[in-house]
Amino acid sequence: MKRNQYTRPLILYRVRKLLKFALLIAILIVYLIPIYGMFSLAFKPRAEIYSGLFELTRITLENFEEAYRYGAYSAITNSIIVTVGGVAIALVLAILASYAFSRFAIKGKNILMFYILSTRMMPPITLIIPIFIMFFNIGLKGTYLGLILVYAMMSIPLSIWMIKSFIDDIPKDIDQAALIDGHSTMFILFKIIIPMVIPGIAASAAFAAIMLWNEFLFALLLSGVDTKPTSVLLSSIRGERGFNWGRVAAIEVIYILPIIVLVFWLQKYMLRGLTFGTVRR
Amino acid sequence: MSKSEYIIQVKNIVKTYNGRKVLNDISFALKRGELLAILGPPGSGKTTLLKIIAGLIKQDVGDIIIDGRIVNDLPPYERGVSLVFETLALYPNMSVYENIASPLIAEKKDKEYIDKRVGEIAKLLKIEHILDRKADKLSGGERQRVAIARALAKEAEIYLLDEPLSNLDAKIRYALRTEFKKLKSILGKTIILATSDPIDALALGDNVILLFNGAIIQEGRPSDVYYAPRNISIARYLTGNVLNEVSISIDSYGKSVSVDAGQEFSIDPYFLKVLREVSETSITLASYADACIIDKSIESCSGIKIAGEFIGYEYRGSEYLIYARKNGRIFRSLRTNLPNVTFGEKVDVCIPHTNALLFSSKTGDLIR
Repeated sequence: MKRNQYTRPLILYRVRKLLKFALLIAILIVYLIPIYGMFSLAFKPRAEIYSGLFELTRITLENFEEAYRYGAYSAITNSIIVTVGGVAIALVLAILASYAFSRFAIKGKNILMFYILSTRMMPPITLIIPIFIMFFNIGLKGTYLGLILVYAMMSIPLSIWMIKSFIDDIPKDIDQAALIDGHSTMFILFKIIIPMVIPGIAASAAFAAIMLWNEFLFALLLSGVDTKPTSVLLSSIRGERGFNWGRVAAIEVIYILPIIVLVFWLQKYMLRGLTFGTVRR
Repeated sequence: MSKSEYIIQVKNIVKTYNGRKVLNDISFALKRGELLAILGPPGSGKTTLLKIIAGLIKQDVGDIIIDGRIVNDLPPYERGVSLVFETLALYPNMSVYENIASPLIAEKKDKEYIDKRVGEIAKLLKIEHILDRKADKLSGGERQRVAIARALAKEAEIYLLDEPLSNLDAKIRYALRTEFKKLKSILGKTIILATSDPIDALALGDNVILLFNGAIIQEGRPSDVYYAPRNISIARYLTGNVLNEVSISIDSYGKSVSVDAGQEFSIDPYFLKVLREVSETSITLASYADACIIDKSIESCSGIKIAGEFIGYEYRGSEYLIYARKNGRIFRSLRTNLPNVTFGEKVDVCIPHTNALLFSSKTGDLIR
């Protein structure tokens, strides 16, 4: 290559690119090592648990059988029930609320919107005692419904804000066109607006689901023996003879998989959800 | 109540947004089957006016009377109006068929009737082949047609069209304008069309209303508005700011006349007489490009002849817009062929007295 005035910057550019790449790889390794360790532990025979984090000589499913005996699968089912239930209730209410906030002239709209968001600002632990007493008295403690209601409450604010931003992006002319055609508000919402904000609904569903799936505090105090979700099960994992790491890792693997699937499935919507309000379509 | 001869009457409409009057005392009436063009620059209040008629925006003061009935408090679908939005506002998640059928579905018509009517309208607007396509997968011209089709599908007394030909490239625009004229005569509907393009308004309207800053500044038949614009800013607007203008001063005795474009000019005797009859001493003489003549040398010019310089031309589809200059003033002439001159060469500019417009220099109002 002939040396000229551009040669030096070009080399610099390549070196920089290489450095960036190396840095990214390093970060990736830091993040992936524990996950690899978890998978490797989960598939290791019990006798080889202490043979090192990375060696995997023989693959076995005995840890998963252990996990089953320990109730991991019913805990996963419980997690699914409370997460799906919470997200479903939150979405229904959030869709209706965000359409109203986006389209109707509501007195004190901004204050209301801020109030809704502010409920997420206080530490959840401050709420736990009153909710516990309340639920205990009306018999919701230990039930699916109790946890589902709390979870719905937790995910409504973000869902309203996110879905509203998507509805705001739809020109009001479309609503007005439907009004002139003679459609009802319900028709406009369900047949015109909702189909257009499916990406927004999917994104807020994904964010809410991840939050609820990982939730521990309320689950610990409000779930019962039969309704215990996975996060609570994992915290009480100490076995008869010390920690059974293989079993822990197996439960973790089962616990993490649905979220990985969900994130990959809704990835493109979630990205749009993260940047909501900043990108014009 | 006896049916009035007007299908729609708009009376003293006032609308204020944040203390700014966007519509100020708007009144007009329209007979059945007529096409009214509301012409005004962007932001003049056209869309607001149409939405008030449609019932999407509430006026502060004034009445809307449709078919003898005051509709001020009726919701949009009970007013018997249909609207094509400037933004088109198609339902992007629905097919073209569903878009056109939307008003019929809302009226709970049976499937057979909807099929038939959508088919008819699609045929009329030449969109039969795209009925299955999603509305967000269409080209600009197709979307425009679908929006018009959806509005027509609704059985309405009045069809409101907000900038139906905007946002289209020149060729499609021209084709749609021609088609629109045909459509208008086939349908025989009452139409109010809002546009910021004078060509659309003058070509399509039976009557034209000029809306500037929320007020009607002139109304009448297109030819009346075109050949007798009330003031010079209207004339400038109608030509898209390519009006030929010269300032003329007449001395107080009406004996001598001078043209600011320079000494090399001549005025024919008849026109001189006309100018002397004008009571103002300083007037602006204006002429549209299609009335002005620019050529190498013009022997007889019954008006004002100015010796200028050829500075260029533009090709405008079927015609050329020829440019000449004299003392900083630009003159433009519309003609079908190019004059046999080179850039910078001397040419004659002739403004015939027949179509010349005389405005007062002081007020800008039309004198003759």
